[in-house]
Amino acid sequence: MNSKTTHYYLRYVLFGILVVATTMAAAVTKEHAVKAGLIYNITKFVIWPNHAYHDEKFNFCIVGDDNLNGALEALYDKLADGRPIVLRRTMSNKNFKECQIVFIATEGVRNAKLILKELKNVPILTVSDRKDFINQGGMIGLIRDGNRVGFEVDLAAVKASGLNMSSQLLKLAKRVKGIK
Amino acid sequence: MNTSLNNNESWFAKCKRVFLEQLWLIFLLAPLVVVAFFINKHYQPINHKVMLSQHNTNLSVSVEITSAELAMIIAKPIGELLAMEVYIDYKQASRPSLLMTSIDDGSNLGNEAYNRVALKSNSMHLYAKN
Repeated sequence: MNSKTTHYYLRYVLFGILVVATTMAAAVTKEHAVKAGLIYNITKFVIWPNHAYHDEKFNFCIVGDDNLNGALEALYDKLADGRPIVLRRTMSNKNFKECQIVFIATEGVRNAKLILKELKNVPILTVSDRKDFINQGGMIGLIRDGNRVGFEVDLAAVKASGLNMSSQLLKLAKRVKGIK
Repeated sequence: MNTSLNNNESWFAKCKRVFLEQLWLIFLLAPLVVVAFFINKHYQPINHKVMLSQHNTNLSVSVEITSAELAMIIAKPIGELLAMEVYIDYKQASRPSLLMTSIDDGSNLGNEAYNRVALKSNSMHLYAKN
């Protein structure tokens, strides 16, 4: 086989690899969908103060590897607090100021505690499905409840941030921390 | 491409040459097969795969869904989402349905009956289109 023929075959090999790699992307499961749906629904029960917004958009920031496998991307045409949701993958802590929600993924985040420390008393809703999230300073933790997905809330952290959370949402939570 | 016939070629060399000459066809058809597979899967919800996930000490599975189902689930109210069964027990999901309709020797009849009902319920949930 001469080099021209080799290049000819190589072109198809690379094309084949590209197609296979694209179709092997991680799939969205029912768990991911329900978690994304819960986060979206939770935004309906939270009121952000005016100073939490820096533009007309509702910035939904994702920190770390998106362990919901892109399920959150289904929120792109939705509204939250009357504003269009914009998904942002945040790498730097400096970008948090523009966010209304920060979703901290279970993987790809080394400094989750540091992030939560920076977001303390700031009107940004912190959500995650990390284990024991609300005990680490997070506001809403998505948890497994038998064969279902539930959530728990650290009300003290929510109040300290200046966010207003509906009592209806608290009734649906599996656990509310910081309630008197 | 050089396709001239060489009578001095060995049988193996001939096979190799023919295979290499037709290799382009394989790579041309492979993407079509992959696309056909995914289209077929999309229109046959009964063929949903299950994905393994470890949650605490329980090994369970969560059902893979399509983008249309994803949109449908996200549009649901919070009460329905909280009530939705997401995980199914790995042992039940991985056991062949034939076994679930028979009673194993020496096993507890009550447990078997419970398992059959649970599997039926899970299967209906697994294959139901939301």
